[in-house]
Amino acid sequence: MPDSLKERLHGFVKTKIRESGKPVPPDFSEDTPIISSGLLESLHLLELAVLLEQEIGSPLDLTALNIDKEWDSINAISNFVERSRSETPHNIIRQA
Amino acid sequence: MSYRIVNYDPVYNNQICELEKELWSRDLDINKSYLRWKYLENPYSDIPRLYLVLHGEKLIAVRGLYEWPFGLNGDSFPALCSADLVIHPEYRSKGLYPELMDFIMNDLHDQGYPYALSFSAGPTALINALALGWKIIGRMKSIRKQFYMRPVTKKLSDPVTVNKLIKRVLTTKILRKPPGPPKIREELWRSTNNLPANVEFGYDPKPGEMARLISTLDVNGKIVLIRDEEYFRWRYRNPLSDYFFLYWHDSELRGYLVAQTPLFMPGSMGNFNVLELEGQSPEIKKELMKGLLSLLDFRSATVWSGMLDDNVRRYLMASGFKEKSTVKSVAEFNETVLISTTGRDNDRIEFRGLDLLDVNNWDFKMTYSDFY
Repeated sequence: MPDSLKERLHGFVKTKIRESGKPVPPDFSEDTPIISSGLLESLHLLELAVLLEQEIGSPLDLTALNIDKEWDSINAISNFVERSRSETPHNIIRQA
Repeated sequence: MSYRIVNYDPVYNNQICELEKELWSRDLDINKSYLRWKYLENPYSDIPRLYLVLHGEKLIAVRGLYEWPFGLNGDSFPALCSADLVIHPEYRSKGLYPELMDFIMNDLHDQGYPYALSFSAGPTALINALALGWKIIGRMKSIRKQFYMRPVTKKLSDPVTVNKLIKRVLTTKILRKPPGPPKIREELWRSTNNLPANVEFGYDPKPGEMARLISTLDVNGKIVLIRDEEYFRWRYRNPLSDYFFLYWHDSELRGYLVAQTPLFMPGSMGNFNVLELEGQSPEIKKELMKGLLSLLDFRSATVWSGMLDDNVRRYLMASGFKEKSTVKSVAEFNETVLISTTGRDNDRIEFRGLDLLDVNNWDFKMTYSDFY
């Protein structure tokens, strides 16, 4: 099992790109845009969200989330996870 | 892949209804009725708001939007609510969704619609909308009462009736499939003798009286859907649902409740959702809910708790309603209301100085969602 967060994210993203029937770009890096470029398909975003909840150890605060910016590369996601781990868990969503 | 996005054209009706079998019903004719009701007869849309993605002449994706006029203190703004997204299985994971939504939002912006809303976002739709820059207004918290077990356990305490009860349960209540609408209607009708004195049961809306009542109610400075006579004439003819109405009146209508059950979702049939609960006083609303409970033997009821006055909510909790358990993961989210500007500026989402991202500025009802 991969031992670092970035390795786990690499594994997840590359697997999902292949599952979509696309080749992983040869120059794929930790800064490659994965959402805005369309590499990661919409169907895989929920799986990514669940994976990140497991990494963080608490539900995501969706109201404060900018997925298009905070999850658009492995480096961005990694920063997001590290930041979320250090924050106190709070209400995940406003309710009416 | 070469494809094009076009506006609704009736020539694609059959293909739309085939593709929407995934969301609507498995029956093509019922789907045609639903298409007609929702998009062609909709009093708020001059043109059917359906965007079609074609590969050659083959329909590979559909996204519908329905228009709701929202109002605040006599002022109003139109918002389009996203619905009915289906992508043909062979064309999924090919980047269609973001491109289609980008096209739609630009088109709506060009036509002068400032906002798009979503009332029925499940977890996948929610995450994808967020990835496109949509914002969450709030999650609609529900309270629900399960009616199945209580009457059984109560009767089991009486040994004389046990054999009779077992026979009844085995033959008519639990092991059979959910009854279709005529059966549900018959059973409901038989229970109407138990209704509170001022409460009347009906299967049809009273558009004029309901609209008049709504126009007298105070909405406490919140944004509401404008429900006029035309709305009531149209809204509850949805062929995928069955509805009934409870009216509280003396010399005139002073309150009403609208309940809905889906007709083509086997797991949900027999669960009644309270789409609207309106009244000139909390006591009237409480009487209407009391009436609902008296009708629903062996059935379940769900209501968005944000629709309820405190005392009505307390009454329901004391009557056995329970909050759904706390959501622990994004994968469990449902009933989340989302908003997006149709332009590029998602930082200013307001109407007449009211922050549209604040759930407390809205008076949300279950009826706003096309899911019901």
